[in-house]
Amino acid sequence: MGLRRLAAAALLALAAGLGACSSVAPGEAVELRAARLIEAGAEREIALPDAWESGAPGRSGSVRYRLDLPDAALRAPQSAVFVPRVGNAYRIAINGQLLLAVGPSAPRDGELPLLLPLPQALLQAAANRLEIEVSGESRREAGLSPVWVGPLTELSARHAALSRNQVFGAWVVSSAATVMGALALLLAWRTRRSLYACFGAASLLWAWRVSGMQLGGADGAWAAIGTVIFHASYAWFALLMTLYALAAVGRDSLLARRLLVAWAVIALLLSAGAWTFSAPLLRTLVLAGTLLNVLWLLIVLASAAWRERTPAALMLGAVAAIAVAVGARDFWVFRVLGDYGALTWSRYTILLLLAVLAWLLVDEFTRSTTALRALNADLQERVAQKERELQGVFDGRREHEREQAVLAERDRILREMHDGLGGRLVAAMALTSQVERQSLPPPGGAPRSVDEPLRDLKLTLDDCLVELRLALDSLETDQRPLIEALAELRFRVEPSLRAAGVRLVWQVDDAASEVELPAAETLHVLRIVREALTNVIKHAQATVVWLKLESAGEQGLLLSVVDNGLQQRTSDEQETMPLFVPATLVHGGRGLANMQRRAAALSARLESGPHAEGWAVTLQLSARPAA
Amino acid sequence: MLKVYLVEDDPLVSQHVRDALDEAPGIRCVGHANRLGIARVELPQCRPDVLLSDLGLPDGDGTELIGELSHAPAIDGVWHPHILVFSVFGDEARVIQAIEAGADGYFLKGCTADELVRAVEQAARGESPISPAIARHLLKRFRDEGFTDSSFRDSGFVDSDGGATGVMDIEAPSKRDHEVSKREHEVLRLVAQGYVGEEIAERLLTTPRAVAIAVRNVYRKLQLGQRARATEQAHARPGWA
Repeated sequence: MGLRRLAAAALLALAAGLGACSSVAPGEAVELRAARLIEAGAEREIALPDAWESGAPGRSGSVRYRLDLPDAALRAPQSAVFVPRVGNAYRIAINGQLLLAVGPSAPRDGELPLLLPLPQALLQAAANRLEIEVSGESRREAGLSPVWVGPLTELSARHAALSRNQVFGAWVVSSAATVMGALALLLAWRTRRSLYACFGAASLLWAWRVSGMQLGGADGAWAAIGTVIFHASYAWFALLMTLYALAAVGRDSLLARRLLVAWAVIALLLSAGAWTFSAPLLRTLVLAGTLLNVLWLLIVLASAAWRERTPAALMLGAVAAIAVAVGARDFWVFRVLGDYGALTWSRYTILLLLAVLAWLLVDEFTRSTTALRALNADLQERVAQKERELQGVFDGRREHEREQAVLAERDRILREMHDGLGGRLVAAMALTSQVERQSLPPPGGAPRSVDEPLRDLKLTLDDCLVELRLALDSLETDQRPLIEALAELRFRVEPSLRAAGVRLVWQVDDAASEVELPAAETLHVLRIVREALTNVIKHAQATVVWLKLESAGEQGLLLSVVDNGLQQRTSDEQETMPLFVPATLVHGGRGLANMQRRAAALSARLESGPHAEGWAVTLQLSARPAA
Repeated sequence: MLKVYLVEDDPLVSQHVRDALDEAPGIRCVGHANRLGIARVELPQCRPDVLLSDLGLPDGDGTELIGELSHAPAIDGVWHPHILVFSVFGDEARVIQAIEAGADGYFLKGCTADELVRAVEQAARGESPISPAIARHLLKRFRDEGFTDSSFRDSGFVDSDGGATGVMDIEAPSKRDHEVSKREHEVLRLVAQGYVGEEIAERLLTTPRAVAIAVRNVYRKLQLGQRARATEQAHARPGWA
């Protein structure tokens, strides 16, 4: 209290000095910093600004301020009065004539600067007196700022400047805070991060506070609640921003949060107390506590900035420092000096905060985009790597399959060579032994004829060539119609048939001429046909043999070798054959068994037996999907 | 008397062939060479009717000799032998090369004496032996070179009255003389399917001789096509003409 009295004394002295100055500067506007306060019939000298909250906290009602206007200030053709701040409701009179009445319907109208031109008719040559009747309620910041009087032109400029500051500044701060607050809340909702919620709530709170919008009506409980919340909102804004800043620099802790929530409740209680008990000191405590809150935040941020030097900590620390300085100035001006007409600076600190948030958001967005891009590149690289590995595995498997196919094919060729060519060569060797034996005269006898074994030998060697040719043909990669393979077989065996006096009649169904079989199956068919033809040469004593290839149903084939040998053949004949006789020379027994084996490999049905004119071998190839 | 000259480096085979030929009435083997060099010297003197040549010889490929004989101007305007090449088991690519160079056909090594004599007599008559494998290769070849069914000339023999038409065909090749006629294509197709001359003649309502001449025409066209390509290549090279 002593401090306040001291400040009031200093103000009084200053006002007296200024008043003295104004008298020696004619024609210019002067600021009146002293008035006579008329309250309940009593009249006393008072210094302006006069804030009821500090001067008379319990006052509720009307008082009258009487100001003597210096003559020098009224010499301009048009004079005016400029009141930066007056409220809550007021009436203004000059020389006893009422000029203007405002309120009390809009209590905050008094917050707006007032410019009042003075009608020349009402002015006297000297000793003009201005009376301002102010009606106010306790706890609602009523009061009167210093009053300016002078030429209208000069005061218009002052009024415009102040209006710009009060109205336009508030409007800008309020809109910016609203937009960023909404944005931050949206961000909080989408990212589920509470720090943005704190920022958004603080911004919107500040926007409401700066806009000066009422919560409810001018009177009653709503007005009280609005005022209490308005007072507490300053502390709440600071603590919400503190929460945000702590989270932004990673200094967030449960204890800090609990302390701040407790402080929020205390601030509300203090504000409510200030209202209830008309005790401005409680409100001053709220403001001081807020200042301490921001000061503590500044220390935390400074330490974070010192240790980590992150942009967030540095920038928020700088803003906190500015906020502390500005807050301290406002605290001094409003709470200590009780300057009713002063302008708040704290209002604009939020602009810095908004800029910091915007910068941090952009920074984070850029960073996460870059990180995402790096991640994508990394993922792509990994996918490409996996693809390469997979390709390698596929290539390996394909190579393996190819090797398997080559091995299987080699096995097949080896088997064919062994069974076919090998068997024939063994038979040829057996025949040469037979020739050798027969050419030697047996003891006491003449040498037997070797014609027949030699003929067999030649046939067998011919067979070897045919076998070799068949084996080589089966290596061909492109498929060819079965009939073309049979054609080549005919070309090979026809000389032998002709030599044996057998005519071969070729009967191919046109529909059957297109049928194709895989190389291995073609080889089986060729062997069966050759076996049948060899049997005709060896045993049938036929003159004609018919080879018929007919199509039977869908893709089915009927192949038959029919002779006119008219001889019933039995398997007994093999007893007359020499030892080591090749399979093909035994028409029944093994020869037939071989044919059956090959037919089974083809999933075909083979029939061999007599018919009306001779012997018939038929091969029924079942239908198969086209290769 | 048919004069035959033999180029073969295997003594066993050449002995077998000489014996078989000398035993046949009306055929005489007038010479035998086991090197291309010897054959080059002796052939103009012997002037055989039929030349039997192996392909793989110690001093070169028989195809070279065949090419030289076919491209050289006929000596005294009349002598030009019918040429048959040996093959062990129808290595068709080489045989077709030999035919392109000017051979009239081939026969299998190791065939019987009768078969051999038959082949020589056929060749002397102007017929060309063919096998299903050769026919198949020729069909594939003409197809690969862009001959389509529609481009086969619809000419060749038109009636089955003897071989007169066929002979006319030989003596008066048309402008598009290396394209195969539709009929020749049909003959090749039937050969590839295993039919022999008589059967083909029966199916196409013509004579076996006409069929044989069709085959010979195909061979001639193969040779002409080869020569046309060689000429084109020569023209394409600067400094040659």
